[in-house]
Amino acid sequence: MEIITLVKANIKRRKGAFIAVVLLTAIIVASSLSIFNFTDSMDRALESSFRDRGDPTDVCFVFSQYYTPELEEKVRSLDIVEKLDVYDALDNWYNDGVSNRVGNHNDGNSYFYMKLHDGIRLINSDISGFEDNIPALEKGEVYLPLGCREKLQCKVGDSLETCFYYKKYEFTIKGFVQEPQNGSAQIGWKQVFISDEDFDELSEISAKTKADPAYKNDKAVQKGIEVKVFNLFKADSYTGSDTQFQRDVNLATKLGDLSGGTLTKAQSVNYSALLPNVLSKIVLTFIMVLFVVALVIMGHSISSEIEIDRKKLGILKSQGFTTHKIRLIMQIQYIFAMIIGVVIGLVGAFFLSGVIADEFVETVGTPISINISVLKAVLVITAIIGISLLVMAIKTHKVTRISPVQAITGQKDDVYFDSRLRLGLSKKLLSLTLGIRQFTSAKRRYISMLIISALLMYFMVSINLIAGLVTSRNALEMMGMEVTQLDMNINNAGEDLLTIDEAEKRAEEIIEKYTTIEKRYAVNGTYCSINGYKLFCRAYKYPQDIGGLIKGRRPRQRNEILITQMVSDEFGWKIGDKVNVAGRSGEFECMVSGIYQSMNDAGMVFAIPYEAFETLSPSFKINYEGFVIKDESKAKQIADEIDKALVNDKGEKKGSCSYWDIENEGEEMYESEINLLKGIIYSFSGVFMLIAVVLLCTKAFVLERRDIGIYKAVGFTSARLRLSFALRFSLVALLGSLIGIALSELFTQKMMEALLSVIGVCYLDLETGVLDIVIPMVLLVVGFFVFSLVASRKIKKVETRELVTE
Amino acid sequence: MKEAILTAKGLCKSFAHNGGQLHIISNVDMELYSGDFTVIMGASGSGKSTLLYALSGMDRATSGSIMYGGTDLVTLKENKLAALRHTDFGFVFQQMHLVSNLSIFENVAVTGYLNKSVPAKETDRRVDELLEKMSISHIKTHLPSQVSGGEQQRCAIARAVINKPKLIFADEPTGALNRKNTQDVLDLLTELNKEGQSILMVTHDVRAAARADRILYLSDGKILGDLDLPPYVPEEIKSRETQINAWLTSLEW
Repeated sequence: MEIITLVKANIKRRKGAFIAVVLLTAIIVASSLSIFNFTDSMDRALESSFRDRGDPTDVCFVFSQYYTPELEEKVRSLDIVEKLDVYDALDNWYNDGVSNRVGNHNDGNSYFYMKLHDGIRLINSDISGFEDNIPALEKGEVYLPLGCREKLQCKVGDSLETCFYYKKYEFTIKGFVQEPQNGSAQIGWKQVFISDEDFDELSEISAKTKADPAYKNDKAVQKGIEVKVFNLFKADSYTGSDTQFQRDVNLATKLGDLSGGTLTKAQSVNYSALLPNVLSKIVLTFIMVLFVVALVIMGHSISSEIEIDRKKLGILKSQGFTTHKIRLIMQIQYIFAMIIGVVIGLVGAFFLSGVIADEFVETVGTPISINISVLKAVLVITAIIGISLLVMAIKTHKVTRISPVQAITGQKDDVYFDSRLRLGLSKKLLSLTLGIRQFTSAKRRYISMLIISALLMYFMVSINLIAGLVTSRNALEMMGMEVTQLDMNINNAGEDLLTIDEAEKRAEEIIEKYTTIEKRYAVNGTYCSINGYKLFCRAYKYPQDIGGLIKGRRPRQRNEILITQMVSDEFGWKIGDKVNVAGRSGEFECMVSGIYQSMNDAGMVFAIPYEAFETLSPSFKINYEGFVIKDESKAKQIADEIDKALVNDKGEKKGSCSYWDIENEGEEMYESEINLLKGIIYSFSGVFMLIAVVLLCTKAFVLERRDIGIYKAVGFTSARLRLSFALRFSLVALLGSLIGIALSELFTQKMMEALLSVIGVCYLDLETGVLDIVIPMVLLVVGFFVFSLVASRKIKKVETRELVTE
Repeated sequence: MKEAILTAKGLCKSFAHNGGQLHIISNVDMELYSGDFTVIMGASGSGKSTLLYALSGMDRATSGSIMYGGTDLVTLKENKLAALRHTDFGFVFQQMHLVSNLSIFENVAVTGYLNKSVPAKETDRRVDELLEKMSISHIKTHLPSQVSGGEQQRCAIARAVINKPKLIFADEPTGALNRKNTQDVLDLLTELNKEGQSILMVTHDVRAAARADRILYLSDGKILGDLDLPPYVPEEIKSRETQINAWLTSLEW
């Protein structure tokens, strides 16, 4: 009973500390569990989406010129293939600025238009689940996978414009469906569904177009738009991985080599969950640091409480309370606060998980029904309370050192103010120098605040550096992105086309009138295989300009390739190794000349000179060239001029050129997610800053109440004392910021490399801009100043009368 | 005719207590004169410290007026009172109340720095001078925790006079000191008074009161006696103590 009485009294007296612990625990529990709930629910949703389709292991898109019934039969007859479903599809064209467009949003990736088949489920209107049935499509209607909602910024009822051959067609979006293989916004190619009537009509048009004498010499038309979509289901007896399965099928049938693209279930799940997983890991890392911050705050609160309540604790001891009992009372009040925080956190996690799921639903490509991850919740809560108990046990150990007599007579063990760092007082800067003195003479009291501000600064700088990655040219190039100011595309369909060589010659002449070319990327990509493993292949006309080289050298010979670190780790190929590269029309031996970085296909990619690539896939031509120019200010002017020059002898436009302003446009797709992450981290930092200041200020205020009285007695005003108080906290925040900057310099790069390795980025060259440091530093220092100024309002209530000894 | 520097009229100080009011100071009328060493005596709980702090503006009186330089301290705003504390008034407490993380020099200087009309160098010079006068210049870099109680109190007196106040308020300045230190502190206050410094001191020690040239006796928040004494001469200390004791006895202390 006596314990309950004291716990109740302590909570009543220390409402601030109690509420702070409740809040900190709630934030940590809510954020960590919402991440776990979301990622677990996302994994379950992805797994379930594949089950709805019968759990296909691999999807291969085989263009009509490479398809034969024999190939299909060969695949079907393999022992390792349990089932093979082959669907007919039609691949759209890019023509006159349209490939798949809704309003102003055009997606240049291939969309495979096909009849609706089993296993495709209609998503309900609020994207929270599924309709029981999927209504058949009428003529002119289309079902789009959920990822298109984000890519095309469209909604039900919007009109989707596309091209087959040289003609445009329009479909009305009837709904969004779950298509597990390509449905994520993170995956380029899409399987979309139209009515049987439309499909048959388009197939008929295709046949007629190809037979039309007017297009007899049009290679693109003759290639056709027909595609066979192979869905392979591995046999139950097959024990290898999805990648291994794909390879075994490819080695036995060449299906992989003949396909325009392939995607295993494992790859699809990985790509769909990639962005949420990377961002979740960043947030979880941040939460772990916040937990450390929370422990520091709690530890400081306990220490200060012991210091402030020294006399009271002495009295309790003199009345027969054992040290153990006193420590128990202190621990119970914090545990009680934590339990309340856990309950609030659990409720918060449930709602927060839903918010996160809504944010990422299109990225993942399927509705995510949130389930509580009970086991993880138990583990997280146990870990939080267990570690906190340990900290409490360590911090309350001080109670053992309190002697009743010493405490009651007011004697103390520690002399905090015996400092070597005694800077003189200045009349002009009296408030500041007094603040510095308060800090230097009681450094131990401010260590926790120093740690807190250092950690908060570390994370704010880190998130700025991460955000900088998507707008910094050097950083993007280091990650293997080809950052150009001028993008030139030439048509690959129709007659009297321009060749890349001709277009390039005209572009060079125009650019050289204004500036010089620093780098150029004439590149195209498709899927090829290395030693039977299907990988994305990027063919470069100018391999000497390939970016993101980490080790070795760029290809100098036609039989040399670059692979990513991820490919090297996955398949065990090293620099100097000889590998067999195969395409649709051939294969040859190559040597790995180096390791480079690329985010194409999330790092599962290799680079090859175009000269060599031509022999693997002769029909695949380069139709894009990007230029890096010295004088960026001329980019728009040059782009306009090149655009006009891309005409054939008949004056027909056969290409286009645009310019890209990285500084202003950035990488839009990731920018919104990065900004969301930035917002979360800055908001959390603000809340933690507020809690830390309120707790630390309150303790400092109690400990310094007598000094405040003295200063008032000799003529200091409350305003001046509050200013000095706030300046002291700002000073600590400033010092903490400097430590945070040092931590960031030391660890951010390594942390980001570890987190981004899943998307193929193993080496980063982070650029720290002045604003990346100055903004969080100002926020932290000003935040601490303002919060501590507000928290110090109690100074007004200190009366000099308190110094009177009656 | 002595010049009054502080005049209290109808001064009351009450506290809320058990749903009613506890009157500590009741309707006090008094005047303090320039150059006087005035002492307030009274039994424990008589309200002498409360009266001292009310008169100095450190504590707000419940009613009445305290006129100082034409201004009523009872209604004066907090920042004006703060200014008054570092320009016109000096304080010496029983428990010294030095700022623990400032050196002896800094404890005095920090109050001096509040006086905007004196340059910092001049303040520093004056602090050195005062510490010399108080015989504590050798410990000027020490922290309060590193010096004796008597030295701390001498520092507190130096702090009280650094801005050349018109009136020093001293609340039992020798209450926490031993005999030797008590003597030293009283000598210092006497010396300051001889130089023209007005002092109002609260004490219940007759030896300390013997330094005054005016004693007010307080009982239950009311001034019951007012004794004028001739200027202090060390050799007459015994007879002054006898006179004060007799006076106090007549007032039934």
